[in-house]
Amino acid sequence: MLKLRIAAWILSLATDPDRAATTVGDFSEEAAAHRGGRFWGQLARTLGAHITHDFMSTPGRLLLGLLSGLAFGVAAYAVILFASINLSLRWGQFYYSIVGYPQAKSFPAAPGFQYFVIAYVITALIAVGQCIARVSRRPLASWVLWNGFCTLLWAALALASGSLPRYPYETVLLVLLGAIWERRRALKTA
Amino acid sequence: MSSPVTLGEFEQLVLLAILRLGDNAYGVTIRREISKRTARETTPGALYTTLDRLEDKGLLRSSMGDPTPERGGRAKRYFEVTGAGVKAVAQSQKNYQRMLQGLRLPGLSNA
Repeated sequence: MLKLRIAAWILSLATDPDRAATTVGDFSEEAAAHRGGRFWGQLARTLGAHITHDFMSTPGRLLLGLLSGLAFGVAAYAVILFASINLSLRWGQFYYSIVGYPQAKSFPAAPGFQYFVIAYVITALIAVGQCIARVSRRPLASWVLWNGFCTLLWAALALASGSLPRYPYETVLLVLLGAIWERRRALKTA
Repeated sequence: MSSPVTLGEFEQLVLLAILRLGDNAYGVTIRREISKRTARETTPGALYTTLDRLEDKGLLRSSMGDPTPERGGRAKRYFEVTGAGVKAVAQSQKNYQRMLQGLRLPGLSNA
């Protein structure tokens, strides 16, 4: 049943896939006994309990996941910055012909370059999500921690600048996508 | 010498329920047993995280049963209390009994 597959996969984001599958089986049995209505509520409460439990029992692992994600993200940005500087220094004419000249009113001028940067950033953020999920082994809990970190950063920026910057929800969603993507194999076994 | 395992109240209830259920201890029956004997509604989240924690501590072991149609083809995860689990729950109950000695509490005849 698709409903059970989806439920097992959602739960596998917070616990082991085997445990998630048997737990969903229990919910299904109970829902059948109570003529439905309880299934998704039970799933949501169990998911919440697992995430809370992860924070209580493995805070170090989750923190390690967050730090690895941050390191990975910084490294990804450093690579494109390094490549960009190197390209501009070594093959300046070629580089500026693609990107456009910094003195130009609309820099970068070439839409292709903008798309490349956007694609790179999207890929990097998805990879950060995969990284935090892989290191922590708890995709949802590590994503909640990432979300908390982004919120703190956002609040610090708001305090420092005195204005309310836009919340980086795309970043948070792309990292979630990466974290979920990391557990794609669990979907096959759910 | 290893330090004794300390159990919370709910952990003891879960271990005792599994001991009572014998070969038929899985999520649904454990919840029913606790609810029947203590008149206490157990949330699924609390139960499943406790089962995972007890298994990780080595106080429980689990095995997979056969998939059944009424469970959408999902297998049952049967639980069994390990020797360490039996010792831990017995020790916790002894501690309770020692603490109760000499006390008069309503509804307790052996206090």
